[in-house]
Amino acid sequence: MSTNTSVSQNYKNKGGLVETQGVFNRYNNSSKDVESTEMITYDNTFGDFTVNVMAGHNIVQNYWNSMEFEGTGLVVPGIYNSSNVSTYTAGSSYGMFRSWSLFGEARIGYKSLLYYTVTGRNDWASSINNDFFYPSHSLGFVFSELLQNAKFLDFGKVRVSYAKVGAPASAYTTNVILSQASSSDWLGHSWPFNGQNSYLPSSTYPNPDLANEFKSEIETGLEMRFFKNRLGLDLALYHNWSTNQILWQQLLNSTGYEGGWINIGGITHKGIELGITSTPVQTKDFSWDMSLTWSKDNSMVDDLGENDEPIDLGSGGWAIVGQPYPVLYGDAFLRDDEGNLVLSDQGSTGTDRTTYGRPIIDPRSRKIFGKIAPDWVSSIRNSLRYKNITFMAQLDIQKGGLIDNFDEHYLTYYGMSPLQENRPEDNRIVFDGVMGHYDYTSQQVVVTNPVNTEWTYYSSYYQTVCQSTEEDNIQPRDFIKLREVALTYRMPGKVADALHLKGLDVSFAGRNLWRKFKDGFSGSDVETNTNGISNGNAWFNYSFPSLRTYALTLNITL
Amino acid sequence: MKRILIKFSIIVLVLLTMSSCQKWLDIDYNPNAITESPAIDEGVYLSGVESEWAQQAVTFFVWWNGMKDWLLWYASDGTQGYETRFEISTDYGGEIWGAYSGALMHSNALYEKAKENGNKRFQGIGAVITAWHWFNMADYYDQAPLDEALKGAEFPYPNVNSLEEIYTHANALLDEAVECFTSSDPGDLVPTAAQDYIYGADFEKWTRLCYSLKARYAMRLTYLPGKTPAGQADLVLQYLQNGLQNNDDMCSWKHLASLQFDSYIYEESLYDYSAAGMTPSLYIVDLLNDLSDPRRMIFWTEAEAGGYIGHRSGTSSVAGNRPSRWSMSYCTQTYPDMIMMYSENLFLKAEAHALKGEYGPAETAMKAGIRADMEYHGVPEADIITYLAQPALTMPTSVEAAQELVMTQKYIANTFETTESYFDFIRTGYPRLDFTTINQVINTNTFPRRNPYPPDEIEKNPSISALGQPDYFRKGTAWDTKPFSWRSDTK
Repeated sequence: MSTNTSVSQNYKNKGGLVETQGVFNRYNNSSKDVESTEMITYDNTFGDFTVNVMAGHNIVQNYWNSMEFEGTGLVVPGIYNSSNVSTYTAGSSYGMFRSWSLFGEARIGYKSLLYYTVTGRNDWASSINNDFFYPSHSLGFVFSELLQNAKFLDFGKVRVSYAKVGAPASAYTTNVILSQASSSDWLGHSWPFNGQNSYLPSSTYPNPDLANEFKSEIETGLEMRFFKNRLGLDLALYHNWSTNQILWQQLLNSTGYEGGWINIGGITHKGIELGITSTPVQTKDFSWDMSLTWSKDNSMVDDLGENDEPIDLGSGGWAIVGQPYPVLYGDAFLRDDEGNLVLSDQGSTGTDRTTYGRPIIDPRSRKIFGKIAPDWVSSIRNSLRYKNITFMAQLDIQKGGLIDNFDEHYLTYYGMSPLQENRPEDNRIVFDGVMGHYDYTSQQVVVTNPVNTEWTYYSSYYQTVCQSTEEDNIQPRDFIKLREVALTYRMPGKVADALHLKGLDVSFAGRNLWRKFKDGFSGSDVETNTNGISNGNAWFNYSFPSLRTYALTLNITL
Repeated sequence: MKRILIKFSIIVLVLLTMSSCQKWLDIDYNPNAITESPAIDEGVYLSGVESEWAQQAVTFFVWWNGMKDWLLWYASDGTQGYETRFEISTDYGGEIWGAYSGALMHSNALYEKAKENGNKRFQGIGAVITAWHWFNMADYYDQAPLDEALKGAEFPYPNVNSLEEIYTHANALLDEAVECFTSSDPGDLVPTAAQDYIYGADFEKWTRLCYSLKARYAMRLTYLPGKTPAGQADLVLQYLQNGLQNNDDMCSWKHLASLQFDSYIYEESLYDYSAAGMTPSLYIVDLLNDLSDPRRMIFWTEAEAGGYIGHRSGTSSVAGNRPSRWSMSYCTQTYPDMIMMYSENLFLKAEAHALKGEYGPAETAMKAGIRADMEYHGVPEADIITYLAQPALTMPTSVEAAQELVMTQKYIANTFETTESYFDFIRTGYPRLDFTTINQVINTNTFPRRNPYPPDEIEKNPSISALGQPDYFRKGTAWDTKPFSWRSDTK
């Protein structure tokens, strides 16, 4: 059983610059997770064969609860409680999810050389009507057992496995939710009306047939250790694919709904993960440990149901068949066949010009700007120990990937972006591109002048057409970060002994001490997604960057 | 060892029994939302369905600023700094199509739920409102999904049905509603007066509304290929015998002054025009001036120079020569969202007689329609008599001229009421709206004769892609076939 409780309070006194009347907010969140697993195991040896069999049962119950109080307008300055606010909103929500499973596993080993494992599991969950079974198989071959004479090799193993994992829908996904009848202040309709309230089916398609999703994976790996374990290699190649993925599908209005959770997704990932550990120097007083991880994942959306419509994943990301998962997708500027920006040759050419000389939104369709996930990620960790002092530093690197910097969208609207520091005095800008327009009749881009010399209003561009496309705000999310640096002092053994401890360490560490983003990123941190961890994961707006933190730690080993 | 195994097995068995019980898993009911359950009966739906119906009926006056401008009930005053032109793009009128996942889906849900539960009165109201939405959909879009619509992921790209099929379905719903309202067994649950905000659970009024709606939509098909004006006129007259009987039967959503939320026309006058009132167009003011219409003093304030003077849309009014305004004592908080006026029934009757060449009864019905409207607005009896006595209101003895007179008077009576004036103009060409007095739309010099299909339906729904985007400025729905020569660029 695990329980979690968090209480956060946020208050601002009267007279502040942002909250002039003062605020008092309080949020209580708690969760209680109960899980019970029972297993029966049977182990035996039959000659060169070892057999381990296990059967088990698991039940899970997750309960969560949250309450919030948001008050504004402090009556008496400096007093922060719920009775000292002029107006407030309050709310609470709670929920529960349950599941239970039967599972089993059989492991057969032959001499310490060959291992085969088979598992099977069947789950029942409260959030869907069906139950689902998923198996796995793995085979491991410790080839170093056959190379006893190879002194440099301490351990060598190849493995191949197939595993399938099922997952139910989130709690309440299939519920038929009612919402208050449509209201409009302007039309004079609101609820409750004349003492009467009304609830109607929501525009979310209630999908009673929603089933679990599956993810299957084939993985092959090589694990080797050399030179008395001073050099290690762990290489894995994987290919996984999901089926029946539960995704939010937008529906046409004529279906009666705006969208719903539907089993439509199929996404494939192929990737490689490499881990190297080494100890280049090792003496009695000094040692240098180094480790490196590097991974690359190539994803592909294979199936999005009937007609394979692009699906909005939220947070700026889209799932589009034939594309990596996820991609940034949206309205883009009109370009000619050579990729030149097409600048409008329409509208007034005088000083009252609006559209003339200005980029145009491509009216034909939206454009895929690129993938959100990086090309590869890597981490390098070095640890230097001299006697009782250890110095450790870790560098994280991410190459490739894109983010939608929506802060830039707003900042450029108000002329507050650093990109606009050198704005023209006369508020006029001549864009590089060709003059032209899109002809709706011929459905062609028409170029009327291959070289643009026409100006348009700088501020007007940022406040109109620029606001209608994400293209100007798509930025690279590459980074190098000095993720952690730590200096640790291990107390001498006699000190620990005197305190009846096995170990006593004091360390001072800093996280996120230095970072470098690729030119073109103008936000504060590429790793921050405004909506937290989500499928889309590409939305940077009003987000705090990762914090630089320092920690002094006392580590006691009993 | 054996004992331990037995004990353990018993524990496992108990846990298995406990957790494998289906009831243990039966907890997936969101406690933070209102979910479908036996407690949610038709009464919880009803007032919301009626409200959304009323909103849908007036929506396009508000959000489609061009409509009231184009119908010349209103003229934008340039001094107020508002956009005086309107752009008609392919997403124009999307609010109507949006009813598929809103007002129409909800009224259909009420109808289906009540039908399943055998609650006839609720079923009848659901059927009437759903029928209205279907007629509306067909009148704006011609072919539209019906059979495969409203079924969610079962038909993600619903096939379209023809306008006639949609009309047949909607008429059948009205017939079914009449049966439901007159059934001797209403079922276990009957709407209360509070739940049925529109008619206060008066099912005789609902029944009369069914017939009046049948008359309205029978008239709509006057020029549908395969129908004849006289044949449709006979149907109209037949239905109207059981239709609305007086102003008390009018179908509308009444806004309450005591409530926070006022009528859209008041809100617009108050906020967009600082309670100075919207400006009427030159066209409508001149039209009423021609016959010294007594409704002028109810509708409008006098111009600064005296008398009633309209405005040319988009131009700026000049101090000392300010035009009339829509009176704030007319555009009040309680101005209703009108779905069907009683006077419309009498004008339908007048047009039906005119189409049959029965000019005497046509004049009688038209004058009854004018009287009903004037009584509704509180025009003094003496003024009504004076107005009706004018020779200009004598019915001409040709179908075309008679139709023009009836439609013009119907248009006046329907000012700022229902969308019927739009459909009447598209269908008959009357009244002769003077488009030279309005600021033209940005991308055309006319107004759509139907709605364009929404871009996402064109893009994704194969059955609508196959139809393609119609030339919606030049060709309306299937019933829009009458040529009218005086305005050639509309055909």
